Amino acid sequence: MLEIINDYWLFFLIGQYPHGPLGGLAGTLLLATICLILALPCSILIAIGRTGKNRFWRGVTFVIVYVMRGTPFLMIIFWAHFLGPIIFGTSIGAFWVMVIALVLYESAYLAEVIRAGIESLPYGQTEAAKAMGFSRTKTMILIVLPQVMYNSFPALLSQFVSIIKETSLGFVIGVHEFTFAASQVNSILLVKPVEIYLILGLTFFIVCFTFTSAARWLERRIGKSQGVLPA
Amino acid sequence: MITVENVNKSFGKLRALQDISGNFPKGTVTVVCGPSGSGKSTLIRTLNRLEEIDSGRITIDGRDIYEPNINLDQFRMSLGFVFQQFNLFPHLSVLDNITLAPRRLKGIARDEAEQMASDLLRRVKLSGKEHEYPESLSGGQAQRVAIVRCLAMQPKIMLFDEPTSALDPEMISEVLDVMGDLASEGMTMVCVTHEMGFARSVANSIWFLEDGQKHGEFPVDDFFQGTTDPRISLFLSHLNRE
Ligand SMILES: Nc1ncnc2c1ncn2[C@@H]1O[C@H](COP(=O)(O)OP(=O)(O)OP(=O)(O)O)[C@@H](O)[C@H]1O
Ligand SMILES: [Mg+2]
Repeated sequence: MLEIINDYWLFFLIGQYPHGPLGGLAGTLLLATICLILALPCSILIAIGRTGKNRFWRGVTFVIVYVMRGTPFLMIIFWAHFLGPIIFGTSIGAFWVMVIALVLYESAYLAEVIRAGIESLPYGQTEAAKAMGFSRTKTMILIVLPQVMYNSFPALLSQFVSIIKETSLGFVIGVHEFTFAASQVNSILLVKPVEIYLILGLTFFIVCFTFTSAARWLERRIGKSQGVLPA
Repeated sequence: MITVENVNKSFGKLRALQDISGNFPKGTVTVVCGPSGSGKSTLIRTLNRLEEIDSGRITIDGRDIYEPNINLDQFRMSLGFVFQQFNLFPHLSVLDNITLAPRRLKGIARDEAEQMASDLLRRVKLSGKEHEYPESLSGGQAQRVAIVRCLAMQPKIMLFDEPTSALDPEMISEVLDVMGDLASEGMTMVCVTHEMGFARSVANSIWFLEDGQKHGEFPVDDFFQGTTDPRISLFLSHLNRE
């Protein structure tokens, strides 16, 4: 197993890069990060719609969240894979298909995290803002969201771990990411699948465990500072 | 001057305010008191439309605050509202808590807003707290910051809903002192409070509410020198016993 790591560590890390697209673990993290960056604004908008007064947007965002949460992720990847070219008129490549699928799917989950954050904020915060003359939009941007993003940071980090794990499903449409790199190594060596997938599994575990621990540590810290907030 | 005419407000079947009328004249301090659940908060919250009335009329300086084309946010900027729970913004420093509204709602430059905030903090004896966060303040300090946060908008009226009820006893007076100073500067104030010492020394008149009804409005001296109303005597004796 050490031998495999010794020979193929660079391939596991960055895939065929620079002779091909960036892949391997770097590809996985890139995919997950891009997804998080794009999904966050979407999820904030969905969460605002879900918690807002407007019935129409409440309905629309409710449907989005429930459809996405009620559908197996693999199905969404297939939709994006087959509908992407129809909508965009041209093939956009497996990587971006996967980005679209992940953003669609994760926006719904992240939106629920943010919605919970909005709803758990003491009502006095928005009421004080209202009494001072802040519009609903300004209250959201200046007072609610900064607190929600801070308080929800650990939960968002945990969700990032889910995203990292979900990227491995990109394998089925040939996205250059970590699992794909492992399978390529496997098809070169042919006789060492156990070792190769053990390396894959262990690395996933270490990466995810690191983020999860960070999330838990932050949760305790943020939880503590909140405990002494007046009201 | 705030004028309240025949105001009614119900929560479902519960009639929280029944036919309330009266004036809060300019430059005076009115204390609103009464037993728990009598509608004091509801009344004071209708004055800046945190609570909407069902019928009646409320005017401020002659202007109906329920007229359809009123700019509600603009209107609320002219009134300060102090909550029992302070409601400071925990993610902002004391300075930013105070300057947020002047800067974002009135477009006042940061320097100018911060200068004003520091001056106000000095007036409430909180110089040097500019860069602290609300979580590190005591209750009395937090409430004084909350008052300053309102004053930074230069309101013409200040509304207080039990501003000292969440405070430890030793901190009550530091907040009442600030309110007393404000009154002596001629601020129009409506205060829901059970601090009868404050009422006696600062207020011009006292409203007594019970079960959503206004049981009279008294010049301060009359109120304390044994009114004929048994409900008020009972209320006062309950307070004294606490
Ligand atoms: N949003 C609401 N929904 C339903 N009922 C309410 C609401 N707000 C107040 N009430 C009810 O209206 C009545 C008057 O409430 P209000 O808060 O004005 O009393 P209060 O005099 O301020 O009492 P306290 O001294 O306890 O603060 C109470 O019976 C209360 O339960
Ligand atoms: Mg009350």
